[in-house]
Amino acid sequence: MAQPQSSSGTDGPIAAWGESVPLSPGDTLRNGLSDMTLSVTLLAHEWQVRVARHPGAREETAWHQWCDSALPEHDEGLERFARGNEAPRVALRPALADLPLIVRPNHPLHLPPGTDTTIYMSTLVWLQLMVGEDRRLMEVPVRQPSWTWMGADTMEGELCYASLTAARLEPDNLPRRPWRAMSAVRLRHEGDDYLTLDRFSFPAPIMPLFRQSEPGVDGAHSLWTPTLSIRCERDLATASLKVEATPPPEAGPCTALAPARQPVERNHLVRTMDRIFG
Amino acid sequence: MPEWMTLETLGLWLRPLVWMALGLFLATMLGRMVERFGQGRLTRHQAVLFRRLVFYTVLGIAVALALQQSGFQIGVLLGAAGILTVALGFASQTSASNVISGLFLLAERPFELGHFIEVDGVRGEVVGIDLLSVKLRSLDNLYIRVPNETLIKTRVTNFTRFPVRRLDLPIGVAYGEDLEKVNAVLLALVDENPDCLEEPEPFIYLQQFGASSVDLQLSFWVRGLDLRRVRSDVMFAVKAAFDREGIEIPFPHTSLYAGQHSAPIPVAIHQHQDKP
Repeated sequence: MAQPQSSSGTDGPIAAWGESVPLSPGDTLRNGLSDMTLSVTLLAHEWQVRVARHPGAREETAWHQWCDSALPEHDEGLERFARGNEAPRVALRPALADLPLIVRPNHPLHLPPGTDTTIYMSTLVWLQLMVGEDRRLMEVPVRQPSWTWMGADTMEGELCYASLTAARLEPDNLPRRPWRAMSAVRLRHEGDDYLTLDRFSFPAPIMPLFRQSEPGVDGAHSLWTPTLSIRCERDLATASLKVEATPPPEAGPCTALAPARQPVERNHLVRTMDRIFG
Repeated sequence: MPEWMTLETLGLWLRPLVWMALGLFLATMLGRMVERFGQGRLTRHQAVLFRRLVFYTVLGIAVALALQQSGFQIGVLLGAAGILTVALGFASQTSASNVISGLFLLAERPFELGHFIEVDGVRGEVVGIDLLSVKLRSLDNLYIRVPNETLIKTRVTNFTRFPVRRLDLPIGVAYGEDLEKVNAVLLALVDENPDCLEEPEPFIYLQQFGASSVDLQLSFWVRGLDLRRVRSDVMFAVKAAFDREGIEIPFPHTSLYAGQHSAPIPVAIHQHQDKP
């Protein structure tokens, strides 16, 4: 188990995703994750959680985590939780979105007929704050995602989160950010003409999350989802979807970190498949 | 002790009362059980409907049994009830109309409990659907009873039927402004606000060349739940962005002329003039 630092060093995370950090009363575990600052303070009878967001023009790439014995200077976004008898330890457990994501490539991507194309993308994660053995205090997205609508019209469909992607075709070009889960989406196009991919539904709630076994150069373990396979027999209307059991080989050795939010029921899968492309 | 107050006659009175009390208790319990069973499986509206159906059915059976225990002939009672119903029907046409309208509403289901509707110029959340009337709670917390007959006869607008709604904001800018820049500023505002849906896409219409301003309409989609808050947030953001970008929101102008076109109104100052 990782030990908390008493200094305010900012050299990557103290603990890997899902690993707990022991705290003493008065300690604050601080996290700088992109635009969000998440501070967890342990007091004698309560947990104090402060979530502050300061959106910037560019998304940072490093996760700063440190522990000190001072109370945060501000009460912005403060929420208090009475303590039970749980052990004085806290962990950050990432999870995929609780709704499907409508992923739109920055520019439309045309897929030639009779080919397999794999695109690499990343999606934001939600952070579950776990205390004691396994008690969840709260859950927050690292960045507030935009809402969007997926459906044939504004009467039939469902609310989803919007996500933009560069739809990279080389996994090495995918920027590594600790609070983003990387995914490989394999598109098999069996039709006779070019298929234009201008958006698709990423079924985040039915996908588990994996963590790379070894940390990267930034000290954080990259997050990966299983490969998503989409097969178009003729056109977008005939697409079917399958969530593979493991992440792609490019992810390297991985361990399971969080199960899917929703068990994969056949009905749900069929519904998801109905709306892969809107 | 009066002659009629024997143990036998008391029993005759008590037995139906016990049946009624037992029926009431059983109906309440079963109704609650049905509602609890429906939580998560049925909508709030359906759960309440089933609870009432179970409650009145059980209570009706209990009343019938109680009457039978008292020595009443149910068949005779039903016959009498038929005649009574005709008589009452003439006397209470409005109530009967409301009851029948209520049945139609139950079948048609234009709204459910918890929906926000407008009917007959009144807006509110549906807090009760009964045989005679629908109860609304307005935004300023007024309790409003709308007869079912009114709901059948007049137009009803349901604001929560669909999960997403379009917001149309009228925005006026000065004639001297660069409309391309105004468009870009407004669309960027909507794009940056995560509560504004990315799809369907937001858009801007030029509505008209108004008396004092160029009138635009900024349209975007939001979740129905967020409507009022997002409307206010975006309007605050529009004002702040226009101030930042130096875009003028004009107010109505009135030009006064004194007889001659475009000539200024003559103003003269006279000294030592007696005050009126």
